[in-house]
Amino acid sequence: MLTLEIITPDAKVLSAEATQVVLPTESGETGILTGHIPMVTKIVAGELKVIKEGITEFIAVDHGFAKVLGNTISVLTEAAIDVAVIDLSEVESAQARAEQALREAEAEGIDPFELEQLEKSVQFLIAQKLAKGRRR
Amino acid sequence: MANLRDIRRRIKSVKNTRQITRAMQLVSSSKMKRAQDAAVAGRPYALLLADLLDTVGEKLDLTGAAIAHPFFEKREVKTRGILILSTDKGLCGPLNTNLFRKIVDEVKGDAKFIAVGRKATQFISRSKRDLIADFTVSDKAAFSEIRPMLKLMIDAFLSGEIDTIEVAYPSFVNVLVQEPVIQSLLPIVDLREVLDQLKKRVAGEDNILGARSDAREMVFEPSAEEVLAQLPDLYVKVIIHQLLLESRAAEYSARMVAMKAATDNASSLVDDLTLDYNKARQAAITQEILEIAAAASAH
Repeated sequence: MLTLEIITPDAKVLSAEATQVVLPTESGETGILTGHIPMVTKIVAGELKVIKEGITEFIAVDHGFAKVLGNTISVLTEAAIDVAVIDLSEVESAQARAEQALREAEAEGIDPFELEQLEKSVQFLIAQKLAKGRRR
Repeated sequence: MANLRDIRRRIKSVKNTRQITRAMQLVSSSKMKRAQDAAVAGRPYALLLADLLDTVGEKLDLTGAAIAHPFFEKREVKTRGILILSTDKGLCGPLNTNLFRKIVDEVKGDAKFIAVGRKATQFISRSKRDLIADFTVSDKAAFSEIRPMLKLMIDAFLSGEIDTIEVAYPSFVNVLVQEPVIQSLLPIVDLREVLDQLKKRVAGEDNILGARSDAREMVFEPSAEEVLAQLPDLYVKVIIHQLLLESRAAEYSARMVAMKAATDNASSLVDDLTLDYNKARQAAITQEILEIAAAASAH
């Protein structure tokens, strides 16, 4: 059994057991089973799969890091949300707002770091939308 | 009698003051609760981040690859860079004074300061120390608010303007006790110390760290350099934010205690004044009766 921990700056979102965990990494989806070699990886905004006894749960995560050591997977991310509780209309309006802010920021030429943050929040919102859309 | 009116006026004004201090006490206590909750909620994240960095550092050490990152580089300390987390407003007991005294006592050599809060700015300029910049952070202390400050400090560190980054802040021991602390952040010399400190605070959450030892070689995706490029940066930012949240909790608890004392003092003052007032009133009545009696017997 694997132990999965998802931690965001606001709270510990999830602590669960799983037989397999699929992480969204820069080089695509990475499946982790027990006995995986120790690994530190960057994760991108996308969906994280938790598979336990044949049942798959989906969690939308923001960019961050994941550490695999022993049979423990620790995911460190800016935000994480269970796909089942995502409200699509809310996500869409949030995405519209974020994209609007991004356009304005680009037009005004604010500092690149702020811009990057905005881009990432849009990415996370899109990831939420995709994850939810596939599940309907 | 004029004296009576004076006393009455004073009672009224002390009661008004008491009302204000009591309101401030209640506001501080609810704000303290919120700041404390925010600080506690962020701790597992900070802890895991420190642990992650420690693991990466350890594994890189084992493989013999030196950690090539400016944050880990030890260099001769010419100018210390100190971030002071103070409050904007006073009325919080000796909180700021204690912090500034610690700085006066412990920072002797060349140092440059970055101030958060008006009190620190005043202190630095009054004592003619070198202030690089000052920032104000709202009550919420959102992460986005401190981003410009972090950028400035990290840039100053990288350019060699300052050789360390240290944070002076009032740490929250409990509601009654706040202790001024100077914590060194950069260069990252010994993560274990920070880890231990964080672990103590995240009581009962040891399990989030999971297994520590695995003899097999660590794999980095996409590469060790990529991971190292971002991790230390994020670590410093998160820890500073965490300390800011904690100093906020300390501020509000100190203010709550100070305001409670003020309210209690006002109450005892009102009691004393009421006693004086009644005495004066009684004396006036007695005086009047005496006068009437004297006038009646004279006829």
